[in-house]
Formats: sequence, C-alpha cells, structure tokens
Amino acid sequence: MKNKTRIILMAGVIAISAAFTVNVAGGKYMTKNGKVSFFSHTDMEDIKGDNNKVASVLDSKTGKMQIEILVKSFVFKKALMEEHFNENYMESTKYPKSKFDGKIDDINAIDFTKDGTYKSTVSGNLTIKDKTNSVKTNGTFTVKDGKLNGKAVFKIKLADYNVEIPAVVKDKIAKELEITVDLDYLALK
Amino acid sequence: MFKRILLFIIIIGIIVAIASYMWNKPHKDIAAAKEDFILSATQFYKEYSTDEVASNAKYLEKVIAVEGVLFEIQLENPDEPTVALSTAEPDLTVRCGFKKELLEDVKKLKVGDKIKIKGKCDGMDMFGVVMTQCSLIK
Repeated sequence: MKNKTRIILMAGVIAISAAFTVNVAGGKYMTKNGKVSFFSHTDMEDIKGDNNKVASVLDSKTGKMQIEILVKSFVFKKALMEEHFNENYMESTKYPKSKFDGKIDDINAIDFTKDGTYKSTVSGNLTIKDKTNSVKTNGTFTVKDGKLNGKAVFKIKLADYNVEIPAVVKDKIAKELEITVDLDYLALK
Repeated sequence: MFKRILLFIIIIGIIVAIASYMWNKPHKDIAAAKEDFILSATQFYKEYSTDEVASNAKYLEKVIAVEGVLFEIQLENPDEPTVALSTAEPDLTVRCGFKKELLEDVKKLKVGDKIKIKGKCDGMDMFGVVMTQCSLIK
C-alpha cells in the first residue's frame, strides 16, 4: 500500500513537472544559424553577401520576434568585396551588430501545431550601423514536423542607414539592396 | 622611340596585373594563418560578457584558437555546419561555423569531446560568441 502511494505520488510529480516544462518552453522558437543574404544588382555588377550565423528568437504566443546579425559573418565571393563591405560601407568594427526588433502582425494566422504554410506581415525596427528605421514586409511561415521556417524578402535604401557609396563605384552598387531572410527555427526545449 | 613605347606597354601591363590581382585576390586563409590569440571557450565568453565593446576592439576579425568542450553540433543550416563549445553559462556558447566542405570533419565529433578550433572572431550575439571560417586543430 505504502509503495503504491509512493508510485502514484511520483507519477504525479513527474506529470506536473512535465506539464510545467511544456508550459515554460511553450511557444518559444529559436535559431542560432539562420540565413540572411543581400543582393545588389546593377548593369555593371552583381554583388551578393551571405550570413549563416543569424540569431533569432520568436514567441509564437505574442508574435514577438528578435533577430541579431553579426556583420562580420557575411561572406562574399570576392575577398575585395568583403573588405569594402566591412571597412567602407558597414564600418563593421565600429558597428558589429545589426538588429531587428519586431513582431508577426497577425500571429493568429499561424497554427504552430499544424503543418502548413501561413502568411503574415512582419513589422518592427531595423537597426543597421547607428540608424534605426521602421520596416514592414510580407513574411511566409512554414510549420513542418514541429519546426518553423520564416522567410521574407524586402528592399532597403542604403541612404536610410548612412551607408555612403563613393562616386567611383556608384555605378557598381545599387541604391536599393534586396534582403532575403531565411530562418529555420527549432522549438525551444 | 621604340624603347619608350615598350616601357609604356610594360607599365600598363603592370598596372593591369596589380588591379586584377587586387580584384581577384583570394580570401584570407584562416586555417593556415597564425593565431593571434589562444584561449579557452570559457575565458573567451567571460571576457565578451564582461565588456563587449572592449572585446570587440581586441578580438574582431582576429584569428583565434579556442579550446573547449563540445556542447552541441548544429547542422540545421546546411551551408555552415556549426560546433558550439561550452562556457561557464548554461546554453551560452562559442559558436564555430565551418565551411560546408568540412561537414564530414564536424560529423565525426561528439558531444563532450575536448577540441581545439581555429577561426575568425565575428563578435557576440544573444547566444554567445561567434566565430566563422573555422577548422579543427589536430
């Protein structure tokens, strides 16, 4: 009898702590190795930079979303492009981190428990160098096997973020860059 | 006159050669470069969490050899297999991104392994210190 009580008590404790764990972690997603690329197209030249170390957390209950991008993690095909990007345009030693602080506008449009593709705008503040601007873009969210992928493609103007392009190369670099965000989130355990 | 034309052609040739070398100059080979700093993952993160600005001034873009215990292998981004080293803080790590050609090297590792990695320091984000262009030091 004593043993039985003990087992029931233990099962109860386990059940409660399991429920508690689910509750605490409930709805948080994160990625430590997300991808952000930018693309500059002009008749003279195409330039592409890829960053595979993008960090992000996403709260599926509130829709709150945070992204951090270390500028030095961008890789380019040509070493010279990478050098110019870091030293001249982004001043990445002075401003090593770009950030996005925002939210999924229509969080109810996404059923995180059901596989499928959902759409909602994402809006918030984008900080590049020392400039912060509010941005809004269309996001596509794909739920599959408990994982979540978030994708967005949008354009930014270099002038909005104090990125100055010297006259000599101004025909090679577009005034608007296309930014592609591709984040494979894992559910936070 | 002929000499002068020849000289002119040679000078133009040199300028073109330098320009095309600069334009096509290869990426710095971090794996072959001598490390600027050797330290443990714990120490590396501790310095960064204490003073991010000073640590950036000291470590950004430098070649670092970091020693530590493998916390996690992260393969969710196929373009950059990643190895995270433990620090004194739970869940905060030193993340080391490898080129995808080195996937097999990364797959051979196991959680708990004591390893030494060389890479370029990119700074700190919400999950810890980040290094890219990493390779294993045998």
